Amino acid sequence: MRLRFERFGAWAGLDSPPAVVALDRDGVRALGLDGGARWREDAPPTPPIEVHLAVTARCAAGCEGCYLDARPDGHEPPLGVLLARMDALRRAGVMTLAVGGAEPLTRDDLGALADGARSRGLTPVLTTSGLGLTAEKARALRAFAQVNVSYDGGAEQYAEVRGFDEAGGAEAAVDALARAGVRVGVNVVLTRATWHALPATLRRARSLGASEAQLLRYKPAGRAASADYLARRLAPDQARSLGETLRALVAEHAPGGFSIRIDCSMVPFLSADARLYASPETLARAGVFGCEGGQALASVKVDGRIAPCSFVAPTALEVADLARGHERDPDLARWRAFRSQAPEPCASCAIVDVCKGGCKAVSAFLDGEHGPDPECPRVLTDRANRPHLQVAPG
Amino acid sequence: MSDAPRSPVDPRSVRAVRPGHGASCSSIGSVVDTLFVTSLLGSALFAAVVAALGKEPVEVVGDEQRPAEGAGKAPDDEAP
Repeated sequence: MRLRFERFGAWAGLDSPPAVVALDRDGVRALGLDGGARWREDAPPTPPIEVHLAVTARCAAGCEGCYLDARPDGHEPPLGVLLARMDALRRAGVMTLAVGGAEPLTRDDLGALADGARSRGLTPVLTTSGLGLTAEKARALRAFAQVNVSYDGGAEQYAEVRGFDEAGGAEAAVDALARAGVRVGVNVVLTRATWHALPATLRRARSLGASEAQLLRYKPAGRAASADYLARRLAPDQARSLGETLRALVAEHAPGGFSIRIDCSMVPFLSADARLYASPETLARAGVFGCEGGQALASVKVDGRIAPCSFVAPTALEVADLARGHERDPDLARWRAFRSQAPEPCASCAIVDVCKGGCKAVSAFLDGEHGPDPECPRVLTDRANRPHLQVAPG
Repeated sequence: MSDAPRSPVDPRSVRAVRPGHGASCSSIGSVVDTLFVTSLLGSALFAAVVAALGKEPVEVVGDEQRPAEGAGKAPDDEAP
């Protein structure tokens, strides 16, 4: 296992079962270790444990809602540059490396990238549209711990999210990866129009060999940062029903070994679930992460600059300086500070320690500020009760 | 690798378990199975984690991110 000291104890990255575990100081001492300076009360914040690495800015798919506004002629760093960035991530103590793009399949050296990550103690995973993935290329991805294919559902749902129908291509990719022995998951972007099809989407993905689905909120970034976002985002009643929806999906799929994962931006929706809201310790113990920008998560843009997450602009910090520069970067510090300075209704929210205010990409787009997620059910209720703070709920 | 002598990890020392590999390159994901499944499944995962903590070789990482003079204090909410 890889172990990184934290003020609370340590993060431990296990190989089997694959998991990242938060251990308290007594647990670390049981392993015969001591955190030393990292356990001082004045210890500075630590770098992220999960980093998203953009290995290309190229993509020819042209999805309407591409959060990167990726294009076919984007920049693609050479392998040596990316391996040097991985060296920097290793020095920072990063555990999980999520490789993406734009579209990483534009590269022909993904196997070497995965091997390079493994040799540096990083667990490499990959996200792809899967379009054009051949059986040969699928086999070349075996060094990745998991590959997720963007799959928003059948033809109608896929076209709703991306503007064209390539559901068949994504399904073929899931099948090819599963046949190649690669652990494969699907990324399902949810919009108002595709929400109802979620159960069928997951059944189809599972039947093709996927072992996990990650549900993602449609976000107003890149080409999706337009007025069209208001029509595509989840409706308030859909957001409020997330807890019950997950309960049903997990009951159907977990016994068969198919996992359900939610992205950080969906965590505020769980505040509307009475049972979860009443037991925030359950969320914390299950390792649920809300907005971890500036903390457990960072993104390395294709030019090597660090961003709090993939949906927002980069900071001035270069990945080469991540290990020592993370604690001092003013933008990352501002993201970290949200929890301790959270305004209402976040300040009094039972799950704020997990949620951390929801998606800042959404608040920046809708409210023009780094504030509470304006689509959180609690925030909507709070604003409805304070009519001088107007927000368009639907 | 650490070769320090170990004692069993008390399950109460495990504050959070994030199972699986997050494979999304855009946002950080969390498996929610253990939020909703029967305690039996959750307990099995937890037992496997505690067992692994007792036997997997330990490599301490992040050795170059040391506290520096004048650095900011970690926020109180960093612990899961």
